[in-house]
Parts: sequence; structure tokens; C-alpha cells
Amino acid sequence: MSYPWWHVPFLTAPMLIALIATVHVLVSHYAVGGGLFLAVETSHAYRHRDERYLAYLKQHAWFFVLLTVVFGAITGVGIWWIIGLASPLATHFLIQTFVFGWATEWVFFVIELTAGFAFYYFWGRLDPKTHVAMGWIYAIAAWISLVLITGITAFMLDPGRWPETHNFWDGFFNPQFLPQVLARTGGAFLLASLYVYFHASFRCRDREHLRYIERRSSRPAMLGSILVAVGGLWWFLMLPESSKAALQGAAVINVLMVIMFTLTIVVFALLYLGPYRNPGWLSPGFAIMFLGFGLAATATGEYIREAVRKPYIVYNLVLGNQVLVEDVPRLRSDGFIEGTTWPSAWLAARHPQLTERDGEGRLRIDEQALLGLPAEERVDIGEVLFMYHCNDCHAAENGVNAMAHLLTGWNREMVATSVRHPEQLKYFMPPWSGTEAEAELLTDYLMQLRPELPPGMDFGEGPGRPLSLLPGNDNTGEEVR
Amino acid sequence: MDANGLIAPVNELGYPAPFWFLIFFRVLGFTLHLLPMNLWYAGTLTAMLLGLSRVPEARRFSARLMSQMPFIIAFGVNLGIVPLLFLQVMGYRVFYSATILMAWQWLSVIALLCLAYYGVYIYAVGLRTVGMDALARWQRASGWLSALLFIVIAVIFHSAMLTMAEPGSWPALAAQSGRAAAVYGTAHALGNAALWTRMLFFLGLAMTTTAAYVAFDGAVLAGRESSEYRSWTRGFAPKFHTFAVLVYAAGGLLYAAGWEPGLREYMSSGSLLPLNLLTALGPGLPLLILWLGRNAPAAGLWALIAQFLALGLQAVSRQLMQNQQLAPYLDIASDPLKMQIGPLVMFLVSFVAGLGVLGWIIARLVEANRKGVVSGQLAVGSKQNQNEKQNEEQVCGLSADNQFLLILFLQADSGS
Repeated sequence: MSYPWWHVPFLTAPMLIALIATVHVLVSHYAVGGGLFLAVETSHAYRHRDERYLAYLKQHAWFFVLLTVVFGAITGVGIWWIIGLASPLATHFLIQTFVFGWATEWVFFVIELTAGFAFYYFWGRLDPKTHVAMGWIYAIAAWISLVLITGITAFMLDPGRWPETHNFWDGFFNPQFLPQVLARTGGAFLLASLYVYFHASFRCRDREHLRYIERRSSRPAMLGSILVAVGGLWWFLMLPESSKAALQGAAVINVLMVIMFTLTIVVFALLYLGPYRNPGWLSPGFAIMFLGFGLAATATGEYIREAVRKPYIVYNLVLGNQVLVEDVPRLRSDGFIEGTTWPSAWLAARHPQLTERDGEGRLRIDEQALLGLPAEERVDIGEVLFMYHCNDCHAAENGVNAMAHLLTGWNREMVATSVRHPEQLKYFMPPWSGTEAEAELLTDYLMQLRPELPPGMDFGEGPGRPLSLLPGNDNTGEEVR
Repeated sequence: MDANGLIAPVNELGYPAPFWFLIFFRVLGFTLHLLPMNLWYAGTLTAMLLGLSRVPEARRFSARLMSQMPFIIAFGVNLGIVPLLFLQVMGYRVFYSATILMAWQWLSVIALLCLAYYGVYIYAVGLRTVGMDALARWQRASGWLSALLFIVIAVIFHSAMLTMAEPGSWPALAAQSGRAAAVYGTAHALGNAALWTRMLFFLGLAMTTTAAYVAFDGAVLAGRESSEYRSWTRGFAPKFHTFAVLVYAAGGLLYAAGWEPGLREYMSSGSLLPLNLLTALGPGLPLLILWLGRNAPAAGLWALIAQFLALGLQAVSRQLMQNQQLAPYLDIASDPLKMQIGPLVMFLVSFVAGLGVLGWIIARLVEANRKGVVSGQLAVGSKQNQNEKQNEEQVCGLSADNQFLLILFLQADSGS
């Protein structure tokens, strides 16, 4: 890790990525699907000289511009912002590897923006053919943006042959690329229809016209549902084994999977029974519920997609704690602090007597001397290790996966073993990337955090006393040695 | 902590294109971004202040600019992507650390920009629907809030760029808000005098751009406006530009006075002196055009072109200065080259094709603008729409589609 770690108490910095990304995805899919909706439906309305429908579509286009051009575009930039802050190593890795992919995506973003504005602001001034063409230019550019971004984000889940070839195209056309493009395209269709229902239910007073809009949007929504299902299944089949195991093994993901499938089935059933078979159900309440279910299913799906990457940010290349996989052996032999920029500078300032520059000017740390430091100093260094090695996923005392709660009642030996073999404790945790001495220091810090068992609990040896798991261990929690 | 020890090491991934290519796109992108960014930075505040004026033409310009602002922001944000992308490619060794040190501020840009953007929309929609005189208090407040937020965003950007270029300040900033070698991301550079002199310098520059734009608006875009309005722009622009140049010069002198001696020596060294002098004097050219062309209708167009050139020079000098500031810590040209030819070709081809598509769109819009409303098509003739149209004509003197065209820097003078 070459950059300072941003410590966000309670939440942990990467949770901010999840927060912003999820919010963005709910609008960005609409930005793609809504563009297709407007292009297709405007064309249809012109063909049938349906001025009433055109009037509605113009209203919808304004809603679309306000939501996607402002909120969608800014939160999209927001993702870029937050990943650079909370996950700088992986961000740098992705930018350096795919810079021309991002740059190409920017070209389509410019086209999208121009065509989108032209489509709305020149409504009534362009002849129908040109107007529809503007809609299609927007829709195609938006979809290509989706494709380009998906190639890069899917790379994170499975980089394909990139690790061997370091070739852009091998990374871009990775095994996850097509399934995710399919699923996202479906999601775009589906969410666009749900947004249309939401908007139309408030804006359209004429029940008959509302039914018409309802029926028109039900087919793309049904198609979207099918694409999501096929893409999702394909996505699952192409997952790396570690991700499949995470899907099956992690309780939180299990629960979220059940929620996502349930919501998707509910949305599909409601679509079929309501707008598709019996148009006329649509009311503001129904539309809000409908959209809420759709957004919840999408958000849950996005969270799952992110979560199954663990312990990696980029599969087999960058670990969740900002360590390059190829660096792990070196860090284990030379030391985590020595191999990380800010902690090593911190240690050199705090304990200059333990560091020296070698012939090449590289900072060297006397690892064994670290263990000879006073207890308080050891805990402080242990906290540095915690920040840079663990705080990506674990808060300290309270909050997301807080260590204090996870370690409640643990003895030193259990903590020390977990520190040395986290990937064996949970295979979706990154391996220990430091020396033996550093493992001891981290253990010192974690033991400071570790609370006793909640008072009053009796496991058979009296309240407050855990069972002796190992001979000679009283399980009371040893202080720093 | 030793600042040299905080610089991220060279990454073996290397640069995907030659250094000159990356720097060219960064400077080009920044120049393109500067024009709209200057307009929302100084232009929003200027428009809001002119909205208080009793001079009808000043109020008219205020309404026109604020109606155009949603497009200016949209394209400005979009054009900001390129320089930032290439900055991350070339400046990763310092960019990430600097922004992480002030992470909360840096992240808040997103929320502030979103608020400012919607604030501008609220104001602009108000102008379209009820007109400037009948704007509700909350609509006016949203305009002022946006102007304020753009200035706050500017402070944050200046802080981040200043911090990035001064790794020597990092140990103190880390100590300001750190824990266990990690940072809380609450550091700030508000105590750095260079921040404020730099702000003043760039505010002056942004004001010169706004002044040039006033003239451009009157000369090129205001065909439906009265001759009094066009005459007012020709009179106001040079005066405002003069005032802006004074702010720019004062800010520039104060800013340069705070430079390290080594940096000052470098910027005034033999080979760079002509360029930097030209950069410093750059806004003088549009000023000259504005004063000399007070009676020439086309002067506004030339003034904006000259302003654009001045901004380009600023971008070049700024890049050279940044490289020099970082030189004691790193050489940004030292990364290995690992050429990505295929993806580079994809980008260039799509870039050229994209320009073609944009050209086609613009040609269609110009054509449509000349023809006016297509008969028989979409008669969304609600009362509200009629009112909107009327307000556009009466208050802004420019319809929404014209506003969009002008952002594309067309001579969309439908009235001529």
C-alpha cells in the first residue's frame, strides 16, 4: 500500500463506496434503459401520430434529464471520487490498466449528453425523423457506456487471462463480461419501465391513457426480467469457485440472496399479473411499491456482486486490504510496515533507532527489535498494522464487522492464530502479509480491544467463565506480554 | 515524518502511452474544462449580483446566463473528466495521498456540486416559468446558494491541487488529523496563505472569462435581444474585464510573491520566461480587443477566442509549474512506457468518430433553429408551456434550445 489509509470510524471507508455506488447504479440503469424507452416510444408515437403520448413522453424526458443528467452524472463522478479515496491502490490499478477504456467511455458520455439535451430541448423543433435519431444516438451511446464500464468492473471479479498476458483486451473481454452486460441491459430495461410507471402514475390523470402507458412499458420490463434472469444465471455459472463458495457460505450473502430472489420474483409476478395481463392496476402507491422493490432488488444484487469478490478487490491480483497478491511473500519476509509507504515513514519518525537505509536507500526495519519495545509502543504499532491490514473490512471497537465484537471472549492464542491465518479462519479474508513479529504486535493491539464475555453467562464452570478449550489456558485473556 | 518517504513508489504497470501524449490530453482537457468552469465559478456570482441591478440590460444578462448555466455545468463537469483522468495516470504518486489527507472535503465536492447544480436548475426553471421579477424567495435563495457553493467547491479544488503540489506539507497535515499512521481525512489547507492568493488569482481569471463571455453573448447569441442590450454588453464587457484583470494581476502578484525562490527562478528562467510572460499577459489580449472593438459587433467573438487562448497558456504554464514543484520529490516522466496501442487506437478512433457525431447533431440543431417549430408536430400547448415560452422570450430573450446551442459555441443567432 503506497498511500495513506483513510480511517472512517464505525463505518470503514470502503462502505462509503458501497453506499455511493449503490445509489448511482439505481439511476445509471435508468439512464440507459430510459434512453431506449424514449427512443422506441417516441418513434412509435410519431408513427401513430399520437400527440397525447408524445406530450407525455416530453414530460417524461424532462424528468429523465433532471434525474440522470444531474444526479446520475454527478454520483457517477462520485464513485470515481470515493474509490480513489477508499481504495487507491485498486483504483490506480484499474485506471492504469484501462485508461483508454475510460477515455473512450468519456467520448460516449459527451455524445450522450449532447444528444440527450438535443432530444429534450429541441422537442418540437426537429423533424420527427431527426428527433428520433437523436433519441437513438443517446440510447446507443448510453448502452455503449454501459458495455465499456461493465468490461472494466467485471474484470475485478475475474480478470481472465490478463494476469498472464497483461493485455487490455484479455482483461476487458473477461469471462464475466457478457453475462454482466446481459444482466445489466436487462436491469436497464426493467428499471426504466418501473421509473416510467412511477412518473406516469403521478403525472397522467387520464386513466385510459395511463393504462396505455402501462401496457406499452410492460413488454420491455418483461424482456428485462428475462435478461436479468438469464444474465444472472450465466453470471453465477461463470463465477470463480471462491465466489461461488462465498455465495453459499456467507450468512449475510445468503440472506441477501434470498431477499434479492424474492424481490425479483415479486416484481416479475406483479409485472405479469398487473401491467402485462391486467393493465389498470397502476396507482401512485402501487408504482412506488413497484419501484421500491425493483430498486431494492438491484441494490441487493449490486451488493452481492461486490461482496462475492472477497478476499479480493481484483480477483487474484489485488487483495481487499490494498495489498497486491504478488507482494504477499515479500511482505511476509521483509515486513508489512517496511513494505508500506506511510506506516514505514511513521515508524521511521517514531522509532528512528529501529530503522536504517540500505545501500539502495530503502528503509529497513529491525523486526526483532520491535518486540523489545514497551507494551504501549507495541500496541501503537499494532494499531498501525490494524489500520492498514484490517480496517478495510473491520471497524475497531464498534461498527462494521467490529473486531471488538468478533473477538469477545477470545484468548490470546485464538487471536494470535487468527492473525497469522485469517484466510484459514475464513477463506474470504486476505492472508496475513507481515512477519511473525508484526503478528505479535497486531495481537497485542487486538487483545486490548477484546472484551470479556458478557457478564452472567454460564457455560458450566460458573458465570463469566468460558470453558477451558486448551489445557493450561484459563481463558481469562492475557494482557500484553 | 519525512515527506520524501511519503511519496508512492513508481508502479510497474507503467504509462500506457508516451508521456507527451498524456500531458497533451491533460492540458487540452484542462483548457476545455476551464472555459465552462470559469463561467460557473465567477459567472454565477456575477449573474446573481447583476440580477440586483436596476439596469434592465444587466438584469437581462443575468437571466440569460443563469438560464444557460445548466448546460454550462453539464458540459463543464464532463470536460473535467479528461484532465482528472490523465492526472491520475501521471500524478498517482501524489494525487491519491493529497486527496486522502483531505478526504471528507474532497468527497463533499460531489454533494456540493449536486446541490449547486439543482440550485441552478431551480433558478433557471423559475426564470422560464415565472420570470425574474416574480421569482419566489426560495428560488432566488437557491441561485445564491449555488453561487456560494461553487466558490466553496473552488476552495476545495485549490486546496487539493495545492496540497498535491506541495508534498512537504503532508507530514504536518497528517499530524493535524491522523491516528496510527492513518488519517481521518479532515486535514485542510485553509491556513496556507498560498491557497488564498491562488484563489484570488484564479477568481480574477474566471472573471475575465465571464467578461469576455458577456461580449460574446451580445455579439453572437443575442440576435433576438434589443439593440440596447447588445450595446450594453459592448460597454459593460471591457469595464468588467478591466476590473477582472486588476483582480487577476493583484492575485497573481501575491501568489507569485509566495513562491519558493527556486520555483520563482525556474518560472523566470531564460527558456520559460517568454512563455510565462505571455501567460501572465494573456488576458490582456481579450481586454485589448474589447476596448478597441467597443463599436465592432464581432469583437465579442474574437474576445472569447482570445480568452480561450489565454486559458490554454494558463494550462501550459500551470503544468510546467506543477512539474517543477514536484521535481524535488519525483520525476513524473520516469515511469516505464508500456504502450497499449490497440486501446489507444480505439480511443482515438472513437474520439474522431465522436466529433463526427457531434458535428452531425450540431448541424441538425442549427438547421432546426433556422426553420423554427416543425408544423403539426407535438402541440403540447398547455398554458404553462405558453407561459414558459413567453418568459423565455421576454425575460431571457433566448429560448432553451438557443441556450443549448450556445454552449456548443455555435453562432446560433436565430434572430439574424
